[in-house]
Amino acid sequence: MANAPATTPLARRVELSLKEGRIPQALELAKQFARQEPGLVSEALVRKCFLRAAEAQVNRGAFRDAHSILTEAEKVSCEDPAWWERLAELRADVGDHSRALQLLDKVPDVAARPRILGRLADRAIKEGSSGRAMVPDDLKPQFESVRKAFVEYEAGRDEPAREALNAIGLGSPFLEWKLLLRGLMAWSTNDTPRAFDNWSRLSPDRLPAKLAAPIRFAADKAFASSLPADRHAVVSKQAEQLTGGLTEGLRRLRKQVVNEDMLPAAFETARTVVPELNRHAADLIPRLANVMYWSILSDGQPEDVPRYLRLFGQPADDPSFHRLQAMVAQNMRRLDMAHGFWGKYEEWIAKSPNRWPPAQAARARALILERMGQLAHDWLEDEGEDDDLDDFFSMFSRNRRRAPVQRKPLKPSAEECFRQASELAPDRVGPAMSLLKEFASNPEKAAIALQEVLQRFPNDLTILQQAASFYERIEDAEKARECIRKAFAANPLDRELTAKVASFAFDDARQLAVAKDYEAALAAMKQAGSLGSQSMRLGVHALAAAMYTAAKKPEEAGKHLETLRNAPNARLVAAYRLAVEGARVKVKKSDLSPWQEAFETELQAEATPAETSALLDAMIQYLGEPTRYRGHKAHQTKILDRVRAIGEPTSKATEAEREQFGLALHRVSMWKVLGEFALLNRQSFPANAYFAFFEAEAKIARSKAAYVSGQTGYAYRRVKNLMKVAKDGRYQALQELLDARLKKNPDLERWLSGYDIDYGW
Amino acid sequence: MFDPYSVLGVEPDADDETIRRRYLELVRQFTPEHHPEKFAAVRGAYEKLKDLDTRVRHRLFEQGKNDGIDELIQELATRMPRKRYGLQALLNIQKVATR
Repeated sequence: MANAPATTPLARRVELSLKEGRIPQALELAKQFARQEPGLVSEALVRKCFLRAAEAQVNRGAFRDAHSILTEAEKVSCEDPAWWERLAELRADVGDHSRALQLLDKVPDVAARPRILGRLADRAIKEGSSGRAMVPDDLKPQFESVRKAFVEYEAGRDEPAREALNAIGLGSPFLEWKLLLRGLMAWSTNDTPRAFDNWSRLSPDRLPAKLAAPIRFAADKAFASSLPADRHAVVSKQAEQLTGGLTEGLRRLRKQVVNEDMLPAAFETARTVVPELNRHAADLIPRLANVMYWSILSDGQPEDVPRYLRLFGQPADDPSFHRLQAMVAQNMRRLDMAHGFWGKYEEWIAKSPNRWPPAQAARARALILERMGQLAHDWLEDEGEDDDLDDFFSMFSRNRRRAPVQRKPLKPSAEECFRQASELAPDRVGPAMSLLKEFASNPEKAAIALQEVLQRFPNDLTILQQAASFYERIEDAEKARECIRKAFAANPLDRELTAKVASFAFDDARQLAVAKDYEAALAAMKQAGSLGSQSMRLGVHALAAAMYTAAKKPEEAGKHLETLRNAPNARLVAAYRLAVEGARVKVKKSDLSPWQEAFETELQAEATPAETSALLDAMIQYLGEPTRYRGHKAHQTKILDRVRAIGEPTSKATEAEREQFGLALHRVSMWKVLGEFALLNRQSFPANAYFAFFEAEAKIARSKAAYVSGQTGYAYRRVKNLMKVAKDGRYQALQELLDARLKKNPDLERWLSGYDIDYGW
Repeated sequence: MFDPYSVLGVEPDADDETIRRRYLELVRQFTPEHHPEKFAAVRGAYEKLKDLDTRVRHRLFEQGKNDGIDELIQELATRMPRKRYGLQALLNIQKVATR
C-alpha cells in the first residue's frame, strides 16, 4: 500500500494511516503533528490514535502491549471525562481492575462504575481461573460462584449450579453471567421459552449476550432477523459451528430448492447434508430425497437426474425416472413424450409385483392408462397448436416455412388406453366415460359402448347425463328423456335435472294440446309448473292461454292471459311467450296475429333490465327444448340485440344487473355474445372481475386447443388479480365458476399460479 | 409435511376398514370445535386414503410432494439431544467466527 505523499498535511496523513490500519505509524505521526502544531486538534488526534492502538492490542489479545500503550496514553493531559472513561474500559478489558477503578475517579458519571465492573467481570471469566486476580476483592466470591456454576452445569448437575448462582444479586456485575447460565440450563432441558426469556434480558454489549447469540440464532427466527447485517453474518457462522453443519446445511438447502437457478447448488449442499443426516437421523433421508425429487419436477434440468441418483440412488417407486419424466413432459405440453414415459412406467408397474401387489397394480395401471388415453386424445386435438420450441428452431432452418406435419395417432391410441383402463378397473366410471367421449364422432361405436356402460352403471348420475346428451345429439329424444328421468329419480334435488324434467313436461303438454288431449295437457302443464322456474310458469300460462284460445274457450284463456298481464316484469316476456305458444299450438291466424304484433311492438319499446332479463330467460328455455319453433332464429337475433344494448355505457342497467345478464349468457354458452357483452362492460367497469371472467370464458370456449394459450391464460390471471383486491365474499359465486373451469381445464392452474413454462428439458 | 399415513397412524398396506376405523377414532378424539387444525389434517388424510382408488392415486401422483425442508429441520430439532455448551466451547466459537 502506497504511503501518503510527503506534501500532505500531517493531520491528513494520520487519518489516512488510521483508515488503512497502520495504527503505530498513525500514532507516531500524530505525536509529531502535536509537537509541530500544538493545540486542540492535534491533541484530539493523538488521543484518538492512542485509543485505536490500545483497542487493536486488546482485540488481538496482546494485553501486555495494550497495557504499555494505555500507560503512555494516561500521561496525556485532558479534561474530557469521556476520555478517562474509555481508558478505564480498556484497563478493564486488559484485566487491570485497580487502575480501571482509579481512572473512574476522573469520571463524574456514577453509571460508569457498573459498566466498568461488568467489563472486568467479563474479562475475568474469559480468562479462566487466573481471572480471579482481575476483579476487586469484594467481587472474588461472585467470580468463584460463576466458575463453580459452570463446572456443575457442564457436568449436568443443574441444582448445585443454581445454588451457586444464588450468591449473585441483582446489582452484581456477574448478573449477566447468571442469566446466561440459567438460559443454558433451561435450553439443555428443552425449556426453550425459559431460555429465551433469560437471554432476552442480556445487554448486547456484554460478553454473555455474545456467547448466547449463536444458540438463539439457531432457534429463534425473530432474534436472527433482528440482527444487523454484519452481525448477522458473524453469528450465522457461529451458529453453524455450534449446531454442526447439518441444520445449517438444511437451512441453506431450503433457500436453494425454491430457486430454479440454484438447484445444482442445492444438490451440492444435499451432498454434504446426506452423510450427516445418515449419522443422526437416517430415516429422514427418504424425505429429503422426496424434496429433491419434486424439486426436479418443478425447477430441474435433465442433468439433475444423475445428481439425484448419485445421492439417493433409484427412487423406490420410480427407479428409471419414467414417472418424473412423464410429469415434466406433461408440464411442458410434450404430450407424445409424456404418453411414452407413462407407458414405460405402466409397464414397470405390471412387471413389479413385489412393489405393486395385484390389486394396487391393476388400479395404478388403470389410472395411468386413463391419463395416457387423455394425452393421446389431446395430442390429436392439439394439432396446429404446435409447441413454441419447434417454431423457434424452425427460424434457423433453410426452409423457414415448414408445411404443417399431420400428427399420427399415438400408440396405444386413446380408445385402446381407455378400454384397457376400463378392463383393469371395471368399477371405475372415469375410463368408461372417457371412452364414450372418445367416440363423439362415431355414433355407432358410441351407442354400443353406451349400452355396455349403462348396463354396468345403470344408476350412475354422470353416465345417465352423458347418455342423455348423446341421445339428444343423435336426436333420439325418447332415450334422452328416459335417461334424464332416471337421473332425476336418482337425484331429485339436482336443479339442472329438475329444469330438464320440467322442460320435458312442458314439451309434452304442448304436444298433447296440439293433439287436443286437453286433460292430459293440463296434467303435464301442472308438472311443468311445479318443477319449473318462474319463467317456466309464465310459459305454462302462455301455453294454457294458447291452448284454450285454439279450443275456443275464451273464458279459460282469459284467466291465463290475466295472470300473464299481472306478473311482475312480464310485459315483454308474456308477449313473447304468447306469440311462440300461439304459433306452436296452431291458434287461428285471426287470434294469433294480434299476439305476434303485440310482441313486435313491445320489442321496439323501451324495456327495463328486469324485463329484458325475463325475456332472455324465456329464450334460453326455448333453446333447451328438443325441437325449435319456426322463427326462433329471428327472435333470438332481436332478443340478443336487446341484451347487447344492456352492455352499452348508455344503458340504465346497474353493474349487478349486467353481471346477471353475463351469467345468463354464460349459462347457455352463448360465447360470441358473451365475449362482446364482456368487452363492452369491461370498458365501463374495468375493476369488475365478472366481466374479465366472461371475456376469458368466451376466449377459452372458442379456442380449439386442448391447452390454455398465453392470451387466454393471462385473461384468467387478470380475473384472479381482480378477485384478490375485492372485498371478502364479493366474488364467491365467481370463485365457484372459476373452480369449475379449473376442473375442466386443469392446465389453467399454471397461469393462475403464475407458473411459466421452462423449456430446459 | 403431509403424509396421510403418518397423520392417521396406519401402515401403508392398511385396508379400507382399518383406515376407516382409525379415522373415526381420531375424529372422535380431535373434534373440530377443540382441535380444528388437527381435525382438518385427519379429514384431509382420510380423503387421500379412504379407498383403493384414492390410495393408489396418492401413491402415484402425490406421495412425498408435500415433504419440505422446514419439517425436516423441525423433526431433527426434536430428535437431536440438546448439547450442554460449556464455557470454553462458547468462547472458542467466538474466536472461530471472528477469524
